[in-house]
Amino acid sequence: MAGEMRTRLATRIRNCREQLNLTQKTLADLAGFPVHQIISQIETGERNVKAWELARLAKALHVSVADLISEPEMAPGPAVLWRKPPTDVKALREAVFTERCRRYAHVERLCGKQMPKEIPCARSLDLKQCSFGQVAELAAEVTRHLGLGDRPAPALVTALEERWGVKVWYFSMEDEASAACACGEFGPAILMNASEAPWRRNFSFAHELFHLLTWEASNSAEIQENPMVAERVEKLANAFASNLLLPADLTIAAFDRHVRENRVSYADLIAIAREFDVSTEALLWRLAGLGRVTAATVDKLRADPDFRRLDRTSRHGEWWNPPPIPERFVLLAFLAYSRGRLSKAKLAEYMDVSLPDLAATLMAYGLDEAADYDVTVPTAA
Amino acid sequence: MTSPCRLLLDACSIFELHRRGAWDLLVRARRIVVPSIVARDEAFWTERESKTLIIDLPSMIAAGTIDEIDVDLSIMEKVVAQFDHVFREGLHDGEIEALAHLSVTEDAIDYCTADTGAIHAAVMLAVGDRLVSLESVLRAAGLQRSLGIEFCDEHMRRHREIGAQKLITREGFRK
Repeated sequence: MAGEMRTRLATRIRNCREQLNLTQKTLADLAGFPVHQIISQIETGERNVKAWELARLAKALHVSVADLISEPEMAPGPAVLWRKPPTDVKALREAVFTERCRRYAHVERLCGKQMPKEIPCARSLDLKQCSFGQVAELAAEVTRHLGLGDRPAPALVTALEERWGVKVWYFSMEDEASAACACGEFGPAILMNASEAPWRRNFSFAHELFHLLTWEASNSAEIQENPMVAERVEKLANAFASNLLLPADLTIAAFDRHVRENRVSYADLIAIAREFDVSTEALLWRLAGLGRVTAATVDKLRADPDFRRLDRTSRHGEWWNPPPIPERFVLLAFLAYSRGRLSKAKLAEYMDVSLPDLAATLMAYGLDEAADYDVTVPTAA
Repeated sequence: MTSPCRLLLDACSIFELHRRGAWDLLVRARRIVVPSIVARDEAFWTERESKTLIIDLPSMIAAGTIDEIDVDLSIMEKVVAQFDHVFREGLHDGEIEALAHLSVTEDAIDYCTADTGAIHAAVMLAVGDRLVSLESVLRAAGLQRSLGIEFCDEHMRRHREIGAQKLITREGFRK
């Protein structure tokens, strides 16, 4: 291997490792190397890297072999905006997220899907000045544009994926983080914590959507570096989510139907939250904003163990876990493979399984490797 | 007697040979070579007659039963540089390593792959004459097995043609 290549690899591997906050030992472990001195030798340009070693390093660093060996140097990854960032593994989560988004964009291109790089209703709002009324208007426009109907939450994610090409990934992050979004060369993308309750995820999706719609402003240094403004932007994003998932007229109508002698039961409040597929907390704050309950009532209910228990137990059956890999991505990757545009080994890599496990994994998504999906039927003349 | 022409196999062909119970026989008939990325990075096992078979390529290499290729990364870089991003990303690293080896070796070697992208790429890199289908490899070794369609002569013929079209139209090449 030429000295130039050794130097290039030394620099790039060290840079990638440092970006992920990995020690040489951790990287060696992730790559399955017996001793961490191998990494040290590679990073000082003392060692000729073998092809299989490089493939393992690329996998551990969440980049491609081509990224590491090719000219020109790989571009830095896009910014990722977190609602509540993980403390220890932020860089690693971002690397995995953006790697998957690049793969998603790749299979879209292989299947001839040209998705918009920007979200159609994107706005260059001045987030320091913009009013809550403007945010409500934006939410109404998104509802119309995406055709979300009377109960927007259940339709939101599919509409974002199918209509606007938003790449949605779910990672199990327990309590370490909630959600994040990014807008790179792969287009808009949302990372969701799979460990959250489905109805909370809906709110988080809508919240992240606001950041994507106002990406230029949300991602600006002026906002990110000013905690006061950043907090205001978070409030705007929450207001947007609330307006989007709980449209004022529909929420009031649903609420008023349940009011008897100026009172509403716990069970009815929970039923309305279920109907709109949002958390009871999101519903209560929305009702307070719409003047249907007072803020004191919201606080009282949130602190009431009976209400919380009833809420928790009555929604137990609604819990569902998202698939580890988005169905749309799987379908596109499989289509690309079946049309000979994606290698089978690459499909397995994209599906995060070994080659022998591929057929069973595809079957879990309802895809049969042996079936001929290209059979056609004539259409009516 | 072992043929003097080595046989470079992709991961899918290795599985198929094990699944069809033809691996040991072929190892006796041909000198088998595998990309190092495939040998060292894949979890290999297959099911045959309701039994799980572990395919331990590193041990076979250590025992000298098969060989692995060792390609200089600057050769891989040259191969990668020929293709546009979308086409290149459709290929597995093991396939790029195999193609890099084919592009520099002067030894007699056949390349047996079932992967359409790899077949197209081999033709586009002007090493398409090294391509062989698994069906023809087994036939030449006197082994008859029922194989998946991607391992058959017709699949190879069709995708060689597509590769040749890409070579002419420059589709998949870096502009």
